[in-house]
Amino acid sequence: MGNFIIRRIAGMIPVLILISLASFSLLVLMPGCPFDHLRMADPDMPPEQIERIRAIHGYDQPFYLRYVRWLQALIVRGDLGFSRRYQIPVAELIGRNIPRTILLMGLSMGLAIIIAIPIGIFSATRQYSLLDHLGTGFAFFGFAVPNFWLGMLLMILFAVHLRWLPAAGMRSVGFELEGWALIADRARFLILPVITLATAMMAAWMRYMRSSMLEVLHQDYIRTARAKGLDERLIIYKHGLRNALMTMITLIALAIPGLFSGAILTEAVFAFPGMGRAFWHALVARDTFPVIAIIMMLATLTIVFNLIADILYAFADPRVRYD
Amino acid sequence: MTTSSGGSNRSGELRLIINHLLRHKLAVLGLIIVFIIAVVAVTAPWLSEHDARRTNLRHRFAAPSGEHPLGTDEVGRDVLTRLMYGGRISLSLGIIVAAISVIIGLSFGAISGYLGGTVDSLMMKFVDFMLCLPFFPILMVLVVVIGGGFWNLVLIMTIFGWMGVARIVRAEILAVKAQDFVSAARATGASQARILFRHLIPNVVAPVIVAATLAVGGAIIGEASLSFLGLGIAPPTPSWGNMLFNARAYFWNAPALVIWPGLLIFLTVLSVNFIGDGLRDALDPHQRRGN
Repeated sequence: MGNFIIRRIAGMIPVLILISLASFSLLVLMPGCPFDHLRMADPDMPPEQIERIRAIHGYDQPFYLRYVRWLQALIVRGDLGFSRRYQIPVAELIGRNIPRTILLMGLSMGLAIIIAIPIGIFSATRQYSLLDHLGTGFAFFGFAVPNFWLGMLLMILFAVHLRWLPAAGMRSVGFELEGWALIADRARFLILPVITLATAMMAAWMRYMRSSMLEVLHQDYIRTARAKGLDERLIIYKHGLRNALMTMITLIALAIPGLFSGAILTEAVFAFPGMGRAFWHALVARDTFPVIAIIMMLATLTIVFNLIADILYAFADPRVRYD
Repeated sequence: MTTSSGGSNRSGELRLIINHLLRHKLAVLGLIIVFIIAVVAVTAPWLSEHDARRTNLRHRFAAPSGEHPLGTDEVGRDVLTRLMYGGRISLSLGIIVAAISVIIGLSFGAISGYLGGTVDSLMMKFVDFMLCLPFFPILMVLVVVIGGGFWNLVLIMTIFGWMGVARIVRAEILAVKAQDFVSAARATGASQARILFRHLIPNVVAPVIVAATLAVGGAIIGEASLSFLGLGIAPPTPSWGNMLFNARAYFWNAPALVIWPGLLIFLTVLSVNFIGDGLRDALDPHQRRGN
């Protein structure tokens, strides 16, 4: 197992370098000079001055040299570059925004799990009951509804019509809040984004839970447990659920990096100042370094969570061995 | 499973599949809704005398009336007309992206599964690599790099659309390849191409059709998501996604502008998924409903 993990981590490095090279070349090909806005702000600016600013940012050098310099800075100093749009180092930008996105994603996952898993279990144990049909109906709804649109509907209903909750942002402006009042204020801003993002996962997880539970309940050891006269509740919750949950945990681990796509859209709808919105704004402003940094971060997360899922899988099922 | 077939046998089977599909109520409902949306989208120029792009600032945010059944938008364009034209983009984009992705995925998966060995493992490594890319953020980057527009979106979305089909096809081909009738065909001296196209690929058609149907819905949502971020179909051409992008700024006083485009995306994707679900049941004799 230890060997397997080391080999997998070593295998990550070429993949990450490939991804960094690919995203770096893509962003260099981006149309429009990143310094066009200077000329727009001041049409009389002499061209030499623009050339000097280009040189300061290293844009006068050929592409491969810039890539090597970027990679070197990243590896030697852990330097992710500078964001032109936000005028701060990329590491600071990420450090500032990532806790908010983690909070949003974490709460959404929690909500999705709390709702999806019990309904999935119930749907599997009482197949074709009313709740099972409702669950199937919700799954069809969840797979077909554009998530950002659902967010906008919630916003219209709860913020515009009912005025129960704030429409956008992360906190009330112009108040100095402390303690519980501060937490309550932040919570009010989080409710709608969390519900929106949670719905994106709920439908899929409910179906996963249902089918993994159904699969387990058809196994021989469940039949054996029934045959020896065990209480049905004990069969379902002790023998069945434990095994079904293990599959579920790996699936959830695999879903985490993909959640970020949902976070981009949700943060866009609710003007929530997190990583997704920072990525979007940086990209639209042709701000290269934050975009590359966030893509690299996501690729790393995907690979790491793939590895975690494989390890969890081996723990969950002793028959799985990686050599 | 169809292995090889005479004409009468195949048309009989087709009739059987259609019968099964028509018994699936939700699939029939889906077919009807998609058909209506498609007909309205195609005949939009004859159904509406309004121009989807011409602005009229004197009639901004007009309430629904005889002339504008769903009112007008922030620059006075008829909302219903724009929805009809937007349907053309969403439906055609969804179908084209799904079709090209499936063709690529089918060829890739079939070659990989048929050849096996080192080629197969290298090709599957590539699929794994593609799957570990954060695809939506990269989609956004690609749109910024090569620009929005219909055909660019088709290109970008197919780049990331074929891997699922490739995996399904490869797994099916591997399973079918080991069966006796393939050895029999080889023993009678059939060429490689004949074995691949005549004996292997017909056996993977069912799962591929289902995957293709579901891919249509995925592509429609993908276009809407990108356009919603201002990275898709560029205005003034209406698409359901960029109508939502525009409506975002006015949700406070004109919430109807938000509701209609999203509702149509939802209805279309839901219907396509119903059809896919019905096809899955109809094409797979082992997986009947209630089983």
